[in-house]
Amino acid sequence: MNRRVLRFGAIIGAAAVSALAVSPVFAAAPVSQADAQSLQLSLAGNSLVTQTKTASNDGTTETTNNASTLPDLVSLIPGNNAIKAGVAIQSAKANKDGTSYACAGLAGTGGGLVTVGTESCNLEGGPLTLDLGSLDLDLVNLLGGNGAISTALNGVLGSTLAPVLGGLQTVVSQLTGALASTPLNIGLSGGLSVIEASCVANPTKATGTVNLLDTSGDKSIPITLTLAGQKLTLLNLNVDVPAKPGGTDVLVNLNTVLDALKDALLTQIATMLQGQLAGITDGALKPLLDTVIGTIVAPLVNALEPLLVAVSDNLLKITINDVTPGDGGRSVKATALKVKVLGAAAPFLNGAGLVDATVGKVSCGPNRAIVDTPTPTPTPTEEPPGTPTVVDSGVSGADHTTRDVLMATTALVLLAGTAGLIGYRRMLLTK
Amino acid sequence: MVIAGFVIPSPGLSTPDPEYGDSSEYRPLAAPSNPELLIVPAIKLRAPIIPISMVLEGGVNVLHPPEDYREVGWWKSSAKPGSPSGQTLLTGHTVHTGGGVMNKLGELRPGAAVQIKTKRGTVEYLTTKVFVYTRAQLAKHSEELFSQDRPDNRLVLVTCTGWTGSEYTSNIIVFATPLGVRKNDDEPR
Repeated sequence: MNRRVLRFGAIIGAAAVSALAVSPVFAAAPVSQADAQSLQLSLAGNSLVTQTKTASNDGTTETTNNASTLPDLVSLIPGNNAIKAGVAIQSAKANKDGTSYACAGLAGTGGGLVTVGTESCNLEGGPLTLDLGSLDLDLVNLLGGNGAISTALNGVLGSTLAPVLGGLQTVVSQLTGALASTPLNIGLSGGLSVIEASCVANPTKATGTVNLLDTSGDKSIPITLTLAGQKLTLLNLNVDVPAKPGGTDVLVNLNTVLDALKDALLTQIATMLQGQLAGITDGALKPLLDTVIGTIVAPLVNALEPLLVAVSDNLLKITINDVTPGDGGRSVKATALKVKVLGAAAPFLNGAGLVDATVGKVSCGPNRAIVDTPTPTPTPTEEPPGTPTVVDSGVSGADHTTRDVLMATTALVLLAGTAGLIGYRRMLLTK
Repeated sequence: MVIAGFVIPSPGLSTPDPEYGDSSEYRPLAAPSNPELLIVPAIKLRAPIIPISMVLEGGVNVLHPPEDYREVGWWKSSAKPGSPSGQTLLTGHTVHTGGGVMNKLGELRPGAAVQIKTKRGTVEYLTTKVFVYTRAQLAKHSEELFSQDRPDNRLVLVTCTGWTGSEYTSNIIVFATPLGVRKNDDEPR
């Protein structure tokens, strides 16, 4: 019986010690956590918006940073290289009961945050015009610099116009200068009312959702490209795709982009050539020149095609509906929209005009349930096996005797003193 | 006080008390119960009992009585009073200058009554043997003295003796056999 009790006690003790060994791990982890970022934006490699709202709770107190409101986006984003939006909202809440939520995104002017109790939040907003980027491309640099342009022009002009043009090099220089001073404008835009990601988590599960809506509630949002004054639809952004880890990449019609670029370039070069050669008034030569211009522009553009392909390949990359779970389903990260404009074309752009944006990014969890810290149970002292071979039941009485002698002496002194006082009083009374 | 100590007669050799002879007056304790108070009328011993553990010191199993020399220790791995088998081991200090709770254990004689009070009743024992072992003898016979393999229950009281001026060389050991709880004992069961 006693041994059973001892064994049970030993098991309880060992369990308590194990719990104590593990408890620091739990102690270090927050009970709940969430964070939200409505917009992460960099232009030309410079971070403009990075603020993230964070919240965590240690089981008694919620700790947050003061980043619920972002600075005015219009003042942040210079020039026309902008993602313009009505309201950038981000909210994160971590509760002491092990639940948390977050929501973040962009909403149209007049939009705002709607919180559902202490459980979740979402965004509401009016129409939102999303200007993905308006880029002034430096064509000369884009196409390889003055050297590349001159070589191409020389190659074409030299074989066809050399006999009639005395100062070929002058013409080439004039053409190159005209190209450099006439940047090619590219604009990307779309209309959305809400771009939002939200998540909720409890100690056992985390879920994330993303929400992209256009102004009319359609799930197909046209993204348009304006190039050299011409507007064409690059793609129809179908936001009604199921969320998945890593999101879904939206494919851009590259042929459309390439054709648009070639057309724009062809028109521009032809226009400039005609301007440069307008001084030739020889009636016999004029028809020949027109023929030559029509003949050389196409080869010139074709010579530049590899560069144009590089531009079009990297013109726009969009990823939507990224919901990635983690920690065995106890945490989640959700991102509504990632946009990268001409991300890989930086060397051609002199660092200007690049847009790298993430809109509506949240994470929730991992959270944990609050568990009562087990009261440390003292480990019972394990007795050695066997029986006592020594019973150490003798005490030296030195201290004990000294103490008793002192007590007896004190008592005797007190007794003698009292007797003396009584005797002295009697003596005084009898006198 | 000192004089009084000499004047008051020592209990000396105890003789069996006829009050403790008839086994029909006893019943078993309802269930084994922790000992709480030791009463040995013949040597005027009345002391609280507290559980104690055996410890390993220098490779030797040692049982230390309570630090307070006025208390008695019950080896908590030994049988509880009321157990049908095993041995109930109690030990208390002897102080060579006097005052130890078991200073007079050696004066006990076979037939003397011993009582152990528990929450379920007071178990009465009859002293059957009083003897002295050297430390070496105790170590040699520790199994038969203290093991719990014994088929019937026995009370074992132990203290030290043989003060040499610097140490104790021997132990006084008292065996007592349980009689049970008096039938008119109105202690809770």
